[in-house]
Amino acid sequence: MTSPFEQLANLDKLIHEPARLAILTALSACESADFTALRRLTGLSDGNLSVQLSKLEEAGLIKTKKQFVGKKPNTHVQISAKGLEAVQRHWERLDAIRKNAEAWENDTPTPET
Amino acid sequence: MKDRYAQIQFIAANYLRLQGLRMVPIGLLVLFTGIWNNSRQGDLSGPILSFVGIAALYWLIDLYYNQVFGRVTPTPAQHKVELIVSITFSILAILSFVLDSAKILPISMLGVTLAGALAVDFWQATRSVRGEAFALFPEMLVSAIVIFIVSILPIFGITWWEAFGFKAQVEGMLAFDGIVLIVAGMWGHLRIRRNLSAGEAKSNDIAL
Repeated sequence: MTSPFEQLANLDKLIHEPARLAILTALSACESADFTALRRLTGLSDGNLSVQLSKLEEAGLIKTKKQFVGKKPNTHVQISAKGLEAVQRHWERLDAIRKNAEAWENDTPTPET
Repeated sequence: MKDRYAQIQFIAANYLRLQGLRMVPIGLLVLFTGIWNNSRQGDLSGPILSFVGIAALYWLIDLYYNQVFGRVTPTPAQHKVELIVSITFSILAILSFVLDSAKILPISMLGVTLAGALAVDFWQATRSVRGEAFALFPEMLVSAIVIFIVSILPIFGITWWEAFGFKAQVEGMLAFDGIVLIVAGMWGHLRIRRNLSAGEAKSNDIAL
């Protein structure tokens, strides 16, 4: 059985990064969200959110659609089927690692004093 | 760590529902209906002006939330469930109003129906966050309980509406429900403002 540390090291780093995991988690709970809503939900700055969205879009995990509301640009973001599957699988892995870590902690003998 | 993500997921899934100010115009409409029904002046200019004012207020609140908090579109499945629940409780509310006006039952069926609608709304919103349900969406459950208790008070011989100058229970209950919805809406708004103004999530992209 691999240790929890090895399992953690094997996680998909593109998804496991906190800001991107927050974006994907938010998008997995709805049909789509605009840039302002995602900024509010994740607490990220405009610049950071833009960078993370670009990375997720490059990986095919999200789809973005830019449009104008009046004279203001508005970006709508939707999770792709691949992104939804990836984030669900990621949470399942994290749950498994947590359970494994609890079992591993209980099995590890405590050093005698 | 998971708590923060569970909260993000909960807020994203219930974005419109958690925007409390949207309940304020509905509460005002219910409150004015109770007051107008109680006065029974027959003059419709007051209700028409109130309705126009409330519609304008709802439009302004919608504009405010869309600009300041952005838009989240619910999934088609969520939308379908909300539509079914709204239609069901609207029909039940009309039937309850007829029952209450006819004074057939000692309790306020309108109040019981609204309490039921709020309780169902609370249950729907918090299904995925059972342990933290109350902390994440307290105003709906508190409103449901308060309205339910006031609705059944006549069973114990308490005709509270008379003390406030209402001729019948149905008018008093409408006014009370309106006030509860307004207070719950403001409470919800303050909570969502606090929840969505947390500090920036730390990105460890460089380390990765």
